[in-house]
Amino acid sequence: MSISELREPRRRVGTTGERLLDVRGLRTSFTTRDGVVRAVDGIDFHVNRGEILGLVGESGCGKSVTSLSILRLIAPPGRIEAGELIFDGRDLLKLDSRQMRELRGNRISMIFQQPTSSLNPVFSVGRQLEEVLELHRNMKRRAARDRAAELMRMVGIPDPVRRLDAFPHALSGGMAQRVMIAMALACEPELLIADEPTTALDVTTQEQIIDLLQEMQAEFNLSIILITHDLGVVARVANSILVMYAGRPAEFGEADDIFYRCSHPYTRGLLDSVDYGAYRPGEHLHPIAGVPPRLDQLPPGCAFHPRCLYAEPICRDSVPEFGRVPSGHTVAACHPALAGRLNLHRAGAHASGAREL
Amino acid sequence: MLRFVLRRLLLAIPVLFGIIFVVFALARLIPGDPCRAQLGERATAAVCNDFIHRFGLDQPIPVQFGIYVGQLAHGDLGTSLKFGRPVTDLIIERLPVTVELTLVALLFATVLGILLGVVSASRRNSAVDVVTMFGANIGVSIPVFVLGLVLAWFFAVVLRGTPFALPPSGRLSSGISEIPLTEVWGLTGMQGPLRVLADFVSHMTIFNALLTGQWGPLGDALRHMILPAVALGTIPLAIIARMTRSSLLDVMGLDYIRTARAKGLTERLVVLRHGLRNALLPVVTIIGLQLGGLLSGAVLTETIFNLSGVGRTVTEAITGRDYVVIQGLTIVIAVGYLLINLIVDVSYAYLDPRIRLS
Ligand SMILES: Nc1ncnc2c1ncn2[C@@H]1O[C@H](COP(=O)(O)OP(=O)(O)OP(=O)(O)O)[C@@H](O)[C@H]1O
Ligand code: SF4
Ligand SMILES: [Mg+2]
Repeated sequence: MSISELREPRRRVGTTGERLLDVRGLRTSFTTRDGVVRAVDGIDFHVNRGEILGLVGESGCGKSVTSLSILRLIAPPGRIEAGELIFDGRDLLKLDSRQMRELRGNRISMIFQQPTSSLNPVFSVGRQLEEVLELHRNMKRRAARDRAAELMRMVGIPDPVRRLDAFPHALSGGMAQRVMIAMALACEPELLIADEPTTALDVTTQEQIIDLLQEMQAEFNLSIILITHDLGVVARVANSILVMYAGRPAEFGEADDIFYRCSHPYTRGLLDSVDYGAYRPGEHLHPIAGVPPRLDQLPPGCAFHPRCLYAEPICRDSVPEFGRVPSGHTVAACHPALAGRLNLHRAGAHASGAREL
Repeated sequence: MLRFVLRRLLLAIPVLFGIIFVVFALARLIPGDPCRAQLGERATAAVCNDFIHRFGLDQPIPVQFGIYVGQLAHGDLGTSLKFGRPVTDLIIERLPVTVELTLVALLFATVLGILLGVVSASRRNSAVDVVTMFGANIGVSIPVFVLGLVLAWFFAVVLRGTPFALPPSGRLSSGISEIPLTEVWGLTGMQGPLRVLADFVSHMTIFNALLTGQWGPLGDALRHMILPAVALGTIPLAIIARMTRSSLLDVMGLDYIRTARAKGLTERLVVLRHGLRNALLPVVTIIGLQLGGLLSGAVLTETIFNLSGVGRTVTEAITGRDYVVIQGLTIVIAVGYLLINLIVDVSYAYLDPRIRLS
């Protein structure tokens, strides 16, 4: 399967869509015994209303830290050092803790990778759903219970009234994630952050959950930040994509531009390293050689340079800015791309890139 | 839930029989003839023949076991030689003292321990936390009798004459007495198990005063209970505080706590509703285990603070080679352990649906 088969034609979105969330220069660090680790070091991106942003990158590049930072749920020793998180016109970092709590689970909610352990084992799922309705909607127990059953039905849980009394350990991973989604959507939020919502599930369930998210997005005009390792999923649902590498943004742009006209060698590498769907004999995948650096031992200059086939001398010395590339397709952090010296539009370009240059 | 309790009760029955059998067997294993073991070395042959016949000791062992169980079923634990009274009476009179001491000590240890644990965990590495954990580490290592003597010396000797002085011995000051609830409620004519229960409760000074509204004696009884309860409860208090703290800290790092925060709950609700209930699971187990330790601590505490409870009775029975009393108390204490384990299991099941429903 190719990317074009996965990506159905969808309306063009862009700067015209209303910005719901604008993240500017977000920097989050953790104080560890070995010093300060910048888990997220200056990220810029935005999410428009009713759109899905795919957030991709190798393990440890700061995807979860980014998403938890948006909800201001980074716990000590972590700290948001700098940046602006403009949500619906207001900077979340300037809100007091009460105002922030009013947004959480209400206008911005989140679901996680491990649905079963994300539910409290000692309360029934109904109770956990009612809790959020009682909190943000001031519903009484009885009304909250009825609404909880409705929500469970909406996310496709069979026999919802009976399931209200079930405890999390009795649910399959897929069912638990549906409960999490019901809980996240209970107050009809504007933004849903889904941190690898399908990674822990089997393949069939993964598809169902992604379908459900897409359905809910359409129904509520919801914006979603979808964090995933699965570029196939991103190809199918995302409107825009942010690629991260070692705590920094590598490339950000509309999904079509990222898939067909990317400008960053790392994006190219990621695209070439996945097989969108089933394995086809004769087609070679080109995983990116090497491993991501440890955040406390980042190489100087562009953090990707030890693995990059296009690295130039300047890449070792100076950190590339995150700016619009001359072609105007995406925003990227790469010296040659910003200078207009790279053409990565062809699949496999990364693997054969060194020879082409 | 009810089914769970019933199942646990059924499971306890074979254990109970096992205990009775062991106690029975031990009594037969005592060297020498059973008559002189029980009546003393100076019993004459005639007395012994009569004794052996009367208690069925000439019958085959299985029959004897049957007789023994039958006696137990009627609440007959034999007659103490040393005290010259039925063991059952002795227990009804003295067990309440121990139960009351243990309950008060446990209440003190649990409530304060969980409170300190929660405060320490939610202000990790703060001054409160450091001081509490330092105190807890000292607390676990002070032997009951040392703490008991120090407390008695400090509050009864050093502070004598000040409003902070506390009585170091007995259950009530001389000159103060309580009317047992059996009299207050006119139950003196009653017979049977309910009467036993009423007598039992009326021997718990604090409960008796509370139930019958004798406020003067209640205050006095409470003041007498403070030092022994603190002496006995300090080790469990320290253990419960440490356990609550570490368990809560573990729990607070789990995924569902992150979910609770992402819902927009206040930190207080996140800790108390979502964190504490899960964190208490291991604490409940620890409390159950501590109860065993409390009983042995009660022996020392009762001796130091001059309380005539089961602990002291056991000591007296052992030094006086009063086998009947030892047997009776062994069974009562074992049943106590069974009950405590049942309560621990039930609270565990109440807290954790995974156990309740499996
Ligand atoms: N509590 C913490 N203490 C110290 N460092 C942390 C902490 N949480 C995250 N980090 C650092 O932040 C980096 C990014 O972590 P993050 O969880 O955001 O990665 P991720 O992109 O979500 O990876 P994955 O795909 O594995 O979920 C980690 O490599 C780690 O060094
Ligand atoms: S800046 Fe240099 S090393 Fe970094 S991605 Fe671009 S070409 Fe590669
Ligand atoms: Mg992650």
